[in-house]
Amino acid sequence: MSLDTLAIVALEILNSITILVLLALGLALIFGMMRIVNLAQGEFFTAGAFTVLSAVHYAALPLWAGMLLAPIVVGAIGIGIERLIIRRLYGRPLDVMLATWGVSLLLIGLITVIFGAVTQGIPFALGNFEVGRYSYPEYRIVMTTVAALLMLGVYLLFRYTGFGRRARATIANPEMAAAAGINTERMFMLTFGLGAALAGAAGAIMAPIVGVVPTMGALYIARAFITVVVGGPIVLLGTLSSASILGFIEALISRFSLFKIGTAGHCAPPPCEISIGGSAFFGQIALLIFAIVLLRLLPQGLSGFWRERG
Amino acid sequence: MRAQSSTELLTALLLAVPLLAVPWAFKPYTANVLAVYMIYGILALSLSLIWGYAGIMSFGQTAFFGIGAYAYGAIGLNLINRTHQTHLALLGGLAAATLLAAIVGYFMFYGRISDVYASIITMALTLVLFAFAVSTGGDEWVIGVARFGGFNGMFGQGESSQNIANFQIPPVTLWLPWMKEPFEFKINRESAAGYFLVLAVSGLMYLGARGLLASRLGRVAVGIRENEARVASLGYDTRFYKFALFTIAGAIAGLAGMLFAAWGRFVNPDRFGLGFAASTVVYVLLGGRTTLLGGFVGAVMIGYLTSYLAEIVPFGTIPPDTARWMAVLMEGARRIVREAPLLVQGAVLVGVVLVLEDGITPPLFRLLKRYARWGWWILLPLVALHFGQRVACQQADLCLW
Repeated sequence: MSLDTLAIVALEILNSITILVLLALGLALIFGMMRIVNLAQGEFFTAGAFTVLSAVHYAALPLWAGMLLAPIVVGAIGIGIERLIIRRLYGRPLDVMLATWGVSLLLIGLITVIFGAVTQGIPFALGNFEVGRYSYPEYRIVMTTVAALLMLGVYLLFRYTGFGRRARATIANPEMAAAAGINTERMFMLTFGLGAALAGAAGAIMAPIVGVVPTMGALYIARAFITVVVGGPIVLLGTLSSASILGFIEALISRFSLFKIGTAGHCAPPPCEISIGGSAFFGQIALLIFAIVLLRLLPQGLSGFWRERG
Repeated sequence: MRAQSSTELLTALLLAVPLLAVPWAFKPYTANVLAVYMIYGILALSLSLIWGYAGIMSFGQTAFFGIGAYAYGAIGLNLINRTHQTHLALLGGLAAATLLAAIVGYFMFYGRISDVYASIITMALTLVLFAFAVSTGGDEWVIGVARFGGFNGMFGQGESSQNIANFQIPPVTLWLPWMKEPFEFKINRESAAGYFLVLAVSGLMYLGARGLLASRLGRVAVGIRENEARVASLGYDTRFYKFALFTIAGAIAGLAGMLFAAWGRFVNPDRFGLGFAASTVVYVLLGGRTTLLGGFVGAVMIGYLTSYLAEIVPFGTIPPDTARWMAVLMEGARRIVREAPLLVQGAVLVGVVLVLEDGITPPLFRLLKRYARWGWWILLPLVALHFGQRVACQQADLCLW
């Protein structure tokens, strides 16, 4: 393998990690801080993409303005849903999953009613750069930068601001925090809104490179969940570590075929071959199998394992 | 105790009289539609078995349904023209679903992952299978004569080399040693055998699940739902009981999947899709997760509601001279009705969780219990009379609807 091939493979791995981080960050925040699984997260992602779409197509705003708008809009939607539905279900984790699944179906339905069930694209003006014999899209580097900034932002927010301290206190011990004068209900609401906003930002950033369609959330949600489950309870550390491992596996298996099976189908030229590996689909299969086996070994996920040892 | 069994007998009669009379009382279309709702009901039964009784929420029960359907289809297509029966296909489909459930269940329960993780893993499983089934459109995805067909679904390709002579997945076909010729379970003008097959399997699965829950396995499972730590400290290996129940439920879901493939003579990746997974949960939630009948009730209700909504198309054409706001409203109503199945499912999920926690079957059953006397003397004769009249007029071809 020559040097430029190695570089391009490294970039592909970086890109896989970036996408997993973007998809999983909001979900991990809500799951890690509030112990609830939000199945509507994929539709928050979709809503972010559609915010960009409407800003660019209907309001004629520049792309970056639409992308800044998306987390605000989706965060507001998230806060609304928390007030209306999730607030009533704290302490009932399965019911939260069911209710958020219902919200997810309702959001898909509503977005389809408003925008129609067609795939739309968002044009953008960034080119490719050369890596030896290969060319690589510049936008992917932008995505990686944004993902890193988002993670840094979440870290700083929860580590160094008053809001972050109060939120962490609420998560650690809600009764004690309430007794110390923290409005815990507001903290839950804002945390959920922040998780939704992160999903909206992810949707906005990925909107130009994917087809924007009301059912797009379902394409990404499985990977986001696998990342969060493998990551375990610590939000940033878990997300980053599991996204790194899973992204590595996904990128490698998506790119290289592991082995080939011959079949006796009616194809030209016979004999037919099915190559295992070498497509995005096998990358996802590998993710799922890896996650299931890993959970057999480390039921608490990666970060839970480290916490127990350290 | 006696009043209890009397109410149950009443319920059974109230259900059995109409269901047994359907093929004679209505056109074959009704039996056909009802059969598929009952197949969904069996799938829902498998979910309520593990969710309502062992507290394991599987969002991906459809994975086993789909595997059963695909395996039945693949084996059935290959063997039907050689052996003229589908015994092996039935066994193979059941084995495939059971095996998948056992493998996934082993990793989930022996890894002691929490309930929430189990739900996510099962959901991811069905989504990945969906991605797999979709990506099998190419010519190389063939088992013998059975093409996976990607989005188009599974069908057989003719032996005549060109792909023109496609044929469908066979219906359930029996050819036992003492039979002169193979018997196909179909639903059409001549025969309602397929309907009765589905009805019989539904009844058997219901009774079997009841028996299972009355057995040691079922009682320990209920104990696990109530307090897993306590059951474990009494010396039960809770991992094994969860694993066993999950595998059995997977097998039942696979059975439903085989019936589905045989009923529609077709299976496509939608059976693994998120929409179908959601509707399964909706059936159970609406019908009531703590009763085994709930899934059937939910499936029939949602089924009729969505098929009714799919038939009405408001404002077929919008005249060009309508006011602009009027046209927007009409177009909006049209789109809302088009998306109605999704919106109804979402609303049911949110609504039942927030308002009606037990679903609708338990309150109905309580009502019937309280007014059992009325049921015996008024409801049952009315139902019998109505269906008797339906049968009479349908047979004489005099029915107005």
